[in-house]
Amino acid sequence: MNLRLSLPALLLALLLPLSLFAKCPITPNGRLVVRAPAGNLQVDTTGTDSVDIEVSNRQVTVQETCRKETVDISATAPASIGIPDWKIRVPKGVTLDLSTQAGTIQIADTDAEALLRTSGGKVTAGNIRGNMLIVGTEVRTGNIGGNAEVRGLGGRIQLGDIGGNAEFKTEGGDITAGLVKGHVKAQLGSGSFIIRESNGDVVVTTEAGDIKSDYIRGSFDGKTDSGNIRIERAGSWVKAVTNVGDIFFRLSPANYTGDLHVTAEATLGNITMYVPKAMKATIDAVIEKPPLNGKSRIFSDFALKGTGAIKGLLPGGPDRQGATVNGGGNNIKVRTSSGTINIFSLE
Amino acid sequence: MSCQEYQRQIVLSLYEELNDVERAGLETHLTECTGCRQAFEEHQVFSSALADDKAAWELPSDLLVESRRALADQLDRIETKRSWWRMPAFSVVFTPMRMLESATLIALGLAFGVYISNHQLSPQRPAGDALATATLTAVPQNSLVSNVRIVNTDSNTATVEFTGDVVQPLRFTGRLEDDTTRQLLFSALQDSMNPGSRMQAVEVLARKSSEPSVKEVLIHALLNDENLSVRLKAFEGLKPFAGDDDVRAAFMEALMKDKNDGVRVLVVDALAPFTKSEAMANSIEAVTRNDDNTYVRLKGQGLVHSVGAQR
Repeated sequence: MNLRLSLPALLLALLLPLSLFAKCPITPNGRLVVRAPAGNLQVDTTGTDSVDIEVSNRQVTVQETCRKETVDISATAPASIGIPDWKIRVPKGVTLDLSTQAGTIQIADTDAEALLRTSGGKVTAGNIRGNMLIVGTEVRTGNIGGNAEVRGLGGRIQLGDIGGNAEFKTEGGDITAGLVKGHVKAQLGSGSFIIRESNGDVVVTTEAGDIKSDYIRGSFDGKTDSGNIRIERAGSWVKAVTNVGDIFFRLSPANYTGDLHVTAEATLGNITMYVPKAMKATIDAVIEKPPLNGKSRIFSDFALKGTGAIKGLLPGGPDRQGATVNGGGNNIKVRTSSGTINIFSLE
Repeated sequence: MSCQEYQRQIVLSLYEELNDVERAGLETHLTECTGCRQAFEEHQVFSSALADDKAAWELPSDLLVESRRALADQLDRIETKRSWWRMPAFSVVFTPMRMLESATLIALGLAFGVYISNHQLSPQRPAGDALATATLTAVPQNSLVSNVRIVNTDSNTATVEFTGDVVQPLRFTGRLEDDTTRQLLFSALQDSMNPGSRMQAVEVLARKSSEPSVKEVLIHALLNDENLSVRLKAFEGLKPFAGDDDVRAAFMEALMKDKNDGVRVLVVDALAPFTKSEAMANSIEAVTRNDDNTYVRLKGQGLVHSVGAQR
């Protein structure tokens, strides 16, 4: 008798912490919206015609609104259960709009857009064919077909190639990305910023850390308070500013008719640039505090002439040199308080 | 000319650095001297091997810059050594160096005048020669002088006392195991004005984070550096040792006091695999109980549950 009574209770007790399932039909190009109170969201994109959700703890109350084009999932859960795992399976073409108040987000390759937000936890994604928005601590993705926007709460951000524009805003942590086909805008509280290439313009500011790229075809506007700036090839105008650090870049424009002005400023650091021999340029290079006993620290393949009125008479005064190349034109303003300036010509 | 001199010319000839007369002289000598001809052929083979191989080389892009800088430094040194005794040559070209020389001569003349005049007025003047030497040697070659202040002047002796800072460029390459390298890295970590340098120092030191002194430095950076990226890099270096008592204690402190959500999230994640005992889980839960970040808070609670469930 006792056994008969206690068996259902025992079964219920055993089932309670086990998984919870939900299922909704969805069109292949539909949209999944998940608003999880807390949960590690793992998305598998091998589904065919439905959204399948499995939550690792039955104390989570899931509410689903199933429509043909959109499936909305929201949930409530007692805080005491910690962070349950959510396993979600969707067709590959479904747009993913996922938010969790706490937890990691992990998605496989998708052919659609992905909007992934967590207030704490890593975000990992495969290749995303559409646009992407990610908010998280550490972020790692494959290639992005569309635009990419990342808001980092603190932690490393690593992205593959990006088919559209890229925008980054982070409190701290390094950012690396592959080839960006559009424009790039990045604002880092601190950390290094490294992109392999950009076809568009690049604007980067960081309070501390290096800024590096192999090739920026558009304009470059970069500022770091403490770090080096190194652009192997720059296709358009350049503005590079650092307080403490070196600046290096090679101007490599596709045509010489566009705006190719240069502003390079370092408070404490060396500046090295390569300028095409055929480019029209008006060079103005200044070392504000050259070595007291040394020779000029401005080196150039172009025939620079001292332009400072007092150079040579008062040791330690500014060392200023300039040149007009090919009749002059694009202003090349290079300034360091203390360091070396190298302006070399490129064939 | 001796064979030794001809052989020196061989190298120059391969780089087309000889004038016509020298080249003709060398060619004549090569037809007559077997030893030099052999040396020429060897150089030629070496030179063409270098040329063939050139495409495969990846020269550092800074090589030219560095070479020029080193050359300039050497020239400066030579210039300084020479300028002590060399009289300036008469020339109609007024280069900056010549103008500097002229200015120096004028200044020396004035100084000499002052010296003579003081010497005549006051036979017991202080050691002016020693002072002059001290002044000249006080500013090393290529150094920067900043914050120059005159702290004392004495009109009787015509002396001026300066204070200031002299900064000299430093370029040093060393292995991470070397004391000097390590001391320089530690020093870079103390540079409060240069967080970029601190980040790089931490990143490099993190490769040796198993060593106690390095670990200690990284812990200090994690807990005290005001720059978030420096703390994140210090964390990355320490993460593999999250099971060690000292690192765990540091992580607990970071969990308690770091203002950045990202750091606390990473730290609580790093502590999780090493939280085996109930006491440890409880202490993490206590630290994270009132955390603003939901993930950190729930993760702390979750650890208590998971340790309890394992029992």
